[in-house]
Amino acid sequence: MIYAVSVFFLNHNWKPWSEAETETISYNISVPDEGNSRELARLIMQQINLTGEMSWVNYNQNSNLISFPLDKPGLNKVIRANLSEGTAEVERQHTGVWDAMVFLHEMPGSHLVSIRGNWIYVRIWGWLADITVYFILFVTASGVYMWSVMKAEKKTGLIFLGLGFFSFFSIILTMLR
Amino acid sequence: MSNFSKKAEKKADYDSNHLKRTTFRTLNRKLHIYAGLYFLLFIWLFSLSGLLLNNPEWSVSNYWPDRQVTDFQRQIIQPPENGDLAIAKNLMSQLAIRGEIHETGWGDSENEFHLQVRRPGQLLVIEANFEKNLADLTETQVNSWGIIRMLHTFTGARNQTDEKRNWILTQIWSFSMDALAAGLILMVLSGLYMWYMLSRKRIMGLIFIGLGTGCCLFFLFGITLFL
Repeated sequence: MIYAVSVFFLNHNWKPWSEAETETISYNISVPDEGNSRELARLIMQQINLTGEMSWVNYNQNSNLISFPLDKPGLNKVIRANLSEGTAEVERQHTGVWDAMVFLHEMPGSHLVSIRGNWIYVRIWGWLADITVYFILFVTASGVYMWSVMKAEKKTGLIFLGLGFFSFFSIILTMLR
Repeated sequence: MSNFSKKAEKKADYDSNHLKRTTFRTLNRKLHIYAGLYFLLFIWLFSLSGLLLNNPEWSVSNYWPDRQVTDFQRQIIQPPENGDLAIAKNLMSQLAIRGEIHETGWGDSENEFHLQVRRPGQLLVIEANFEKNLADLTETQVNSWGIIRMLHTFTGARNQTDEKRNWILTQIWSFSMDALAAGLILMVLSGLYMWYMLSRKRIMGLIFIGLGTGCCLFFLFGITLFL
């Protein structure tokens, strides 16, 4: 249901929710001002006790500024830290249940392969999504079998099956032609 | 009213309600079967492409390095139309290209126009020079796995713009996605009704529905609230 409902938002770039207000909280941090950008981001997350899926890390070594987003279903955070001054700002925005569905539809996804799934819950959701797909494949195959042994529905069922095949192939083949 | 006529009236009410229930049950079952059969290939396509998108480490998911890129040049004449979309459509007609116009723009001078056209399996970048009456085209074609993956995300929807889909087949495909989503929701609801009518399977079903719903609610609300 999460995947089906979120299709309407993704397919039409539709946002029924209004942009939620953001709140910003400041923290003092103490992290080394050099090192791997993802490691630095991890240290900052540990110090201010933040969790979420990190999409990218922007680390400017000249200005010693680091920023990265941390996303959860329905909650977006952007962390901006000044490593020289030892300060960090966390911008939080609650985006609501519809956006949470879109987030779950797209996660883990095919982009940012090297870092995607850096939050354990996104990895678990990815496994659940795979299990759901295998289950759907099994359910559809068993459904077709059950229909095939129902004599009363065979004729009309075949018409619908044929219509489905016709719609599917006519759209796709016309697009590819 | 006599006892006899009261009983007869009750029986008639019962029969009428029973008939309505039976008719609804039959219609519900038929809807479930026919919708499932109609959408079968669509469900399989989106399931398979969903697996490919969710598992980019699979060799078949990694279609991009196997793409075929071809550069070529074609003669064009400057379109008389005004507006990027109209100019792009005219150029596509001259070059016999079909697809969703994804991006248009102008170069440094008013004689340089570029556009990007997409359809499942093919990306085309066109750099038109109206002064020289030439268009440089870069065509990128991907393999069958790439086509399957692209079909999953080929909506024509643009981020942060109100631009509408400009290719009829994108509109049809996008409508198919909506129809499939609505069909799946209907099938879930009709399946739930059929399960509810099976009183012997109710408890076991409740356990599984509870587990599945609980799991989804945890991911939708729980992890943001508690973790």
